[in-house]
Amino acid sequence: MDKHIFLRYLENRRAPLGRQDEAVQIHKALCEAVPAFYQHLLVDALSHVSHKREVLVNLLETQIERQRLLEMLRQLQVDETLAVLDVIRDLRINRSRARELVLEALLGHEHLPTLAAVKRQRVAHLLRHVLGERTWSSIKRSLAHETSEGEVFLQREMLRYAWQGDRARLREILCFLSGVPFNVTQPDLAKVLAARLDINRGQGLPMQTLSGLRGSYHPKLSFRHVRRLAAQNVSYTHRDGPLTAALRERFSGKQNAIEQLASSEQASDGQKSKLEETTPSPESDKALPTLTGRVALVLDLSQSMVSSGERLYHPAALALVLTSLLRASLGEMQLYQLGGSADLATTELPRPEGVADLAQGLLKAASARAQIVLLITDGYENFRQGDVALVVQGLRHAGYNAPIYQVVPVYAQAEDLSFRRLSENIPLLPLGHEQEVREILARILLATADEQLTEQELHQLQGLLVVR
Amino acid sequence: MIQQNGRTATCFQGLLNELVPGQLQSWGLLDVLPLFLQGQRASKTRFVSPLEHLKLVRVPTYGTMILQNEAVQEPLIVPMHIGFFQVGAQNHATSRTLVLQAGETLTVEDAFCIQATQGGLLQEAQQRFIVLPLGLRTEALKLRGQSGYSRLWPTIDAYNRRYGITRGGHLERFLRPYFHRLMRFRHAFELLPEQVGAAYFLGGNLLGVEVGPDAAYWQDVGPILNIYSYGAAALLAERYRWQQKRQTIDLESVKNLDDLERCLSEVRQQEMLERVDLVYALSNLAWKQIPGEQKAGLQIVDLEQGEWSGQSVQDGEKLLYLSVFRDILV
Repeated sequence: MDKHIFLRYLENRRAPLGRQDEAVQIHKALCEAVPAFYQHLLVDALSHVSHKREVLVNLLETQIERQRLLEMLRQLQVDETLAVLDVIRDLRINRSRARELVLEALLGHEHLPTLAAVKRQRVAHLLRHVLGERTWSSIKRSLAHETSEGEVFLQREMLRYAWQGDRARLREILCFLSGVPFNVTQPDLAKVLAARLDINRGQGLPMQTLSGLRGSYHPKLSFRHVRRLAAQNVSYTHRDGPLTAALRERFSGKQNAIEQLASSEQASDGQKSKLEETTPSPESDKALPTLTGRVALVLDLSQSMVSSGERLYHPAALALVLTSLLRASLGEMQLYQLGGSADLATTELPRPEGVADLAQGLLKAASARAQIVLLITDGYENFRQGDVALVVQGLRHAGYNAPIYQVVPVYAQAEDLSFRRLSENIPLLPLGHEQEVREILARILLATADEQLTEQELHQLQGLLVVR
Repeated sequence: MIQQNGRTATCFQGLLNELVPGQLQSWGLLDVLPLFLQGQRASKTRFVSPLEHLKLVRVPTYGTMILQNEAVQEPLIVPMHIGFFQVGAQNHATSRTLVLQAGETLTVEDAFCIQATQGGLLQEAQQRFIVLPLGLRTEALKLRGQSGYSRLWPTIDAYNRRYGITRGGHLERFLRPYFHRLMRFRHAFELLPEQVGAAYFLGGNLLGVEVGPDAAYWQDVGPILNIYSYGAAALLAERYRWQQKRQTIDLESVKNLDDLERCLSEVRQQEMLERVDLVYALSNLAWKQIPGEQKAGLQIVDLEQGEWSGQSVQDGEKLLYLSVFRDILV
């Protein structure tokens, strides 16, 4: 399999997919060439949900077992599952295979009551699509008027999919979805029903759900009031990885402690790096593969990597953790440290300090004839802004064509990096978490592999992309 | 020019006596030449940092600020043109450099109101401050020692209009929408260990020189100057579509990586020399020095030279604080 298709997938996967995109062709090519690998992209941890939807559409065309698809869908978050399955309604896919998948995945989901409560309309619309208008109407009728024929019908069409055989729970949810009156026992459903009468009783529901309730039942209520009641959107809350968090703690306010620790350890016989001490070996991480190849890493530890406010020390800490994880995973890595209070090659843990001549660092890395060059930096090129772009042009002109990546430790994926891009000619990878070291390793794997990937390389790539 | 630990060997004379330039940093239209003290001197002197020890006691009447040095033993040099912001009170800024003795509470009667139509007086706070944008500072310095809290409003009004912002003596109308862009200048320029000051260039033109008494002082004040004062000037220059005059490399003549490295070093060195020469020339100008207030054994001096103006604080012959600037965007 041509490795460039995988590279193109990696380049596209974080951005939303348009129907006419080149990315759609990449999906088709991958699905046809390596279907066994392709199915795992359904649970790609870093891909945009639109890519997962495309994967599902393509997989529905193949002979992949429904049970296998179901297992993978269950690895996704519940709201992500709904977003992925919704493609079946959006593209008007009418196939018994799709219908069964939706019913099993949704009705048999442990968190269906929560999902139904906060996304009632979307769940109901999806069920109505896969069942068909007439079946959905019959289900509503059977729920509203209990008859023996109706019960048999409900059992056959819906209740047999109930999570852990809990038919009463599923029945309640179906009544809620179809607007049939019922005695509520599920707390999530009860909260939404109560909020229809008094919005204040819906406190803690998602903003989107409360906005919907406001529109239908409390149109005169101010948005400000709804915002106050809404739950904080946890997806916007930043969480450091354990290693990054530990390093940030060490940096912030405990700088003297680091120095003391460094000097005391140097005096002792254990010459273990402070970073190694903070960073567990990759074996303790979820099976990072060991890769071969000549990799050069330019690490920016200049003063600006300290950052400020809630981001204080985040870029430096994440950059150091990524460096350490890469070093442990790679057979051969040339490290070019720019700035910093100490040399990372020695036993001290460097603090961000001084300036970073990124252009010179890149030149040195290229001189080592590396197969791939990584620039881990915040992107504030201040030695002379524009020199990296100039050097990249010069390198290409001089015949050096190895891939060069700018890796930026970001606090939030929404950060505007347009003014921190070092060159239009090198890809920029914004990484927010130490787990995303896999993104870099995938690039390294592809950069150092031959044009056609081997089975073993494919397996490694799969391991890098799908761990959640 | 020989580099030693990020510094160059050239030492300035005249106004910037005993200072040596470091490695030039460039980002966008703004270049910053870090300044260090010649030789080894303590990175911490007897002067405390304003961020830690300057307290705004209150604003008793519009145009008057009461400031306090909270340090018990050390004096404090208050940088020129600092401003305090509070919600629900009229923001104020100082018009000149001040010296506060240890524990001293000083009433400053020639401050400016920088928020025309906001009522309310600033309350006690020990908080972060800003420095006025460079485009306001020449006029603000001219207006020192005068009374009238509204005297900077016309200048703020004209300044805001350069950004296409609604009229009025409201500095916050410029700062609020542009804050996220100004903040970039904080991270774009690195503070170096032992750095005590910097010379600022815009599109290759020398714009200002700022020096603090020691490295600890500069670590606090340097970023504030970068963001609010010189960063604001760089934003305005961008708005005026200024172009950076930058030497580039003829890539056609580059044969290999060594060649590329050599060419890069050459153009950088050339650019650096040009900037250092500008600072050297400024330092050696015949500055008109008018001694002003004397306090705690320190002399505040007003400085003038053509379009340049500023102030310094000196301990005998020794320069402790300096802020000289010009507005080349008018």
